[in-house]
Amino acid sequence: MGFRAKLLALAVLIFAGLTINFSGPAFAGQEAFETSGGPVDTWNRPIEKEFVVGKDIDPVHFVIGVAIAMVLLLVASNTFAKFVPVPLVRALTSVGLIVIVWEMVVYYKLVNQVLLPPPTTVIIKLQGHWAKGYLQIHILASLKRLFFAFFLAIATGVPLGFLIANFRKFSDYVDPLFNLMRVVPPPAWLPFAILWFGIGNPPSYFIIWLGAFFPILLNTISGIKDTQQIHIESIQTLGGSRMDVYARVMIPSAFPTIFTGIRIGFGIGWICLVTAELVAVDAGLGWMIEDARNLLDTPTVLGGMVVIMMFGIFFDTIFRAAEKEVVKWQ
Amino acid sequence: MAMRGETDKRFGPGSHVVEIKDIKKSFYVYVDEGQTVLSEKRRWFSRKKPGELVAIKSFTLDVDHGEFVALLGPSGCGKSTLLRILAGFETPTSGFVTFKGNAINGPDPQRAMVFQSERAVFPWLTVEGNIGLGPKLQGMGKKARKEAVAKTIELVELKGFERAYPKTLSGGMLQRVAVARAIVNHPELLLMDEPFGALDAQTRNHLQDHVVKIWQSIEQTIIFVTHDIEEAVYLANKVVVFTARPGEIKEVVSINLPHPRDRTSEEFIGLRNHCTRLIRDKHPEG
Ligand SMILES: Nc1ncnc2c1ncn2[C@@H]1O[C@H](COP(=O)(O)OP(=O)(O)OP(=O)(O)O)[C@@H](O)[C@H]1O
Ligand SMILES: [Mg+2]
Repeated sequence: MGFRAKLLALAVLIFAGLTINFSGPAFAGQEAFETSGGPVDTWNRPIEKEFVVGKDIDPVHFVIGVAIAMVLLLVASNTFAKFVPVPLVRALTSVGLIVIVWEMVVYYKLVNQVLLPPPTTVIIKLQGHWAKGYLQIHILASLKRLFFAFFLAIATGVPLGFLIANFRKFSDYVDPLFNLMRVVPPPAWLPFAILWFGIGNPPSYFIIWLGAFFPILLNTISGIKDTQQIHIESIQTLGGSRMDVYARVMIPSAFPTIFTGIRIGFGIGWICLVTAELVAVDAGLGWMIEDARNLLDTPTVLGGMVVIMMFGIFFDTIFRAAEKEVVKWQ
Repeated sequence: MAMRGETDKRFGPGSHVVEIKDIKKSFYVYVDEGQTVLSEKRRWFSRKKPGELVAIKSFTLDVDHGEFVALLGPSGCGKSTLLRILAGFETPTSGFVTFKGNAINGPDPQRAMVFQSERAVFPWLTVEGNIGLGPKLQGMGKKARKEAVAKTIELVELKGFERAYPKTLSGGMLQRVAVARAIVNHPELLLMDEPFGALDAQTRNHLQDHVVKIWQSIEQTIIFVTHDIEEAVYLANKVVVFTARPGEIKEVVSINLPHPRDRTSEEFIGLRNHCTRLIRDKHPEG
């Protein structure tokens, strides 16, 4: 099994895991959270002791550790050049440097640690949230929301794009409406989304759907429209019917473009998710950030942002790998 | 083997596989100052006037079962247009075309077409997938399909590339896939539009021999478009020489040489020169 196939399998497993979680309690992880035993306030939020820079991780050790890791990485990339991709090493190097500088400016009190919590504090904070099950609740809430709206966007975007690309009349009526909707940034819909759908999941589904839908729709339209006439005629001369033209020529030839739309849509959906959660819901990474902001808990704010980054990169990587697998004929 | 080129009587006395009766094909285009063909579509605020471009006119031809007909003519004389009419992609502006006595009405797997460009091969299917698609669409069972595909792959010498995607194949191999894809269904009429136009001489000669082999091994009629005189004389037993656009028949030359033909024989060179003269006559000043 190739590396890409493995990544694809991993993606499938994650999707499967999330689907299983969908069938769980509405607030997945709730029980774990309640029985985690940490001190909580009336809102079930863990009560934090005051935080001190490097309380559990010595900043000096941390900086030295990161530096050593970077050196090891460089050595590894020279020794096992085949297995360690150069761009990845470079990317990790620049991230590592930022982390070191960031830790040091706080350590030497060049900036206020409330305004810029150092990496060590963020790590400790995230560790604490994780141990109490608090972080998992929000991650799961966000992912469930995202996947639901994302699948909705695929289920609507691909068929509609197909119809718009193939049926002139339908396109003349419907395409302008979507173009009007498309130019409004999804978060601008939030006030009405809340008015229409109330507080809770539905308005955020709507916002995420808006974000993910348009790239999928547009790429489907352009992919289908780019179908080559010679391919359509080829299948006709082999005895293909109209349905064969759709199913055996248009869809496969447009698939790579559609898949790119799906990947971009997922990314935009992830951005819209956090935006929607800042306002409309009672759990999720966006909510966690907003809640921590109200408490001036800047390490949690930053920690939430880091988690969002991680997941964003993670999913993008998986989608890119899957994309390569999907378009291997190109 | 029965003599090729003899009239096959299976469609009733006097009937032919293909009958083309006095057809004309024009395209409606927009022209600028009555000279230049600019586009099929008229743009807003454009001063172009609608005009008519006659691709073929007063064209009459009968093709019998088992014949190998080459359509020979200069670029733009309407050879592809005629082939597309036979395949069912275009309808003649006037006149009529029949296939086995019935008017041609849309594409049909019995009239398989090999296109002018090798881009016609489906890039998202493997060699096997491309060749097997026709039988699949005909509702052939999986086992029979596999056999048919294997046999055809052998015929075009693509063994070992069954699982390859088109992007990994050379131009000549792609053309062979395109030919295989068309013949696997055993169409009664095989329409080939300059299938080897873009290839080097060596590959081209090799593929020409392939086509002769296919023609000899499968009972079928072939109409082959080319602008290469030698290719026409080498392959066909009937060479239809076109005039320049609008395409009309200049002469139908019968080639009664047995296969494999010797390109250096006296008769071959004589026939080739005859066709060359026919084509050159269009430009008496040249
Ligand atoms: N769809 C179309 N719309 C307008 N004009 C067309 C169309 N198809 C063909 N023509 C015109 O008809 C004429 C004949 O075209 P055709 O493709 O049949 O030539 P050809 O003999 O196959 O030439 P070549 O050897 O270069 O392939 C050309 O002048 C071309 O511009
Ligand atoms: Mg042509």
